Amino acid sequence: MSEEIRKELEEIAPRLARLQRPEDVPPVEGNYFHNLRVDVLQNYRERLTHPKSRRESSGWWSFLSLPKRPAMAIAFASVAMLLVTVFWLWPAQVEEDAFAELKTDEIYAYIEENIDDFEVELLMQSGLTTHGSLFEDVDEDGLEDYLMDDIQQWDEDDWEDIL
Amino acid sequence: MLCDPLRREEGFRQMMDLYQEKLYSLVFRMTRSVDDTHDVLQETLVKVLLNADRFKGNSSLYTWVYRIAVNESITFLKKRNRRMTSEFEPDIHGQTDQGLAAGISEKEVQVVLKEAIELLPEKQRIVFNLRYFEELGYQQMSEILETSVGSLKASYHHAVKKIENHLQSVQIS
Repeated sequence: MSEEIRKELEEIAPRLARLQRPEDVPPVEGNYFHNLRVDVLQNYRERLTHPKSRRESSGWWSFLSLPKRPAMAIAFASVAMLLVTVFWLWPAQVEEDAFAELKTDEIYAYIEENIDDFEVELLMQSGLTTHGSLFEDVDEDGLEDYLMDDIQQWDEDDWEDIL
Repeated sequence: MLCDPLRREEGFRQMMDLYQEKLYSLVFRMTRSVDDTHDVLQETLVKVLLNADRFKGNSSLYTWVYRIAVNESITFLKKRNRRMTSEFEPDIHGQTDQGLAAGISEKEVQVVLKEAIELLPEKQRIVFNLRYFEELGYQQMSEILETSVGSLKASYHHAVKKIENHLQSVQIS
């Protein structure tokens, strides 16, 4: 393991740094890579001579194909209008006391639905700074990217860390 | 050589000489299955050949091929997760409860560490694998995953902390 990675680990995870890195990839048979090359080149040549035809309109935007699916398009537009209406009617400020009456699940759901509107700076002030070395060398843009990318995968412990 | 259609297959062989083991390890760590690794690796390499014209040299060949391998692995994992049955789920809880008393052997520690990695969310596991096993720099990971360096650092640190907590919970000091 390189010195840079070892030092980085020692600072944030001394137990992990002390462990021997596992050899977790099983060895392959002697002629595996030779056979793989043969298979790949054969597959490549086949695809060159018989390219796969592109599927027609496979993206999510295919919903917008009005002549083909008018009912779906109307339903899609209705949901969009409803969302816009809810957005405008949603209170801009949530009183701090209101959180006291909310259940944990409701708070998680609220955060997940409204994470786009959260100020990263406020999140950092409220909770993340308590993590010390965990985020100390990550700038605000990096943290924002991280939150946007990973928020869907957080478990309950992650949320408790933040809150 | 890989970009030249007339010399592409020779370029491919040279590329394989350099990267085949690394690519195999990368894909295996993501799929955790020998059969799936073979399928993903084959698809990755065919796509490298088919798209070699698009390689402009803005990043290194290594980074470009890695990016295709990571993307193919992620696509595969998403498909697999959709049809996933219990046979794919590691028996993490069953194994974790075993042999965690004092005096754990090195082999058992390795098992616990692998379990901790398996428990990570997909994105964190990818970032952890690229950094811890492949020893890639953050800039190179940023080019492969098309994510900012700051986000990758946060993701890696979060993953490492989770693994550390897991090790602590099973009293590995």
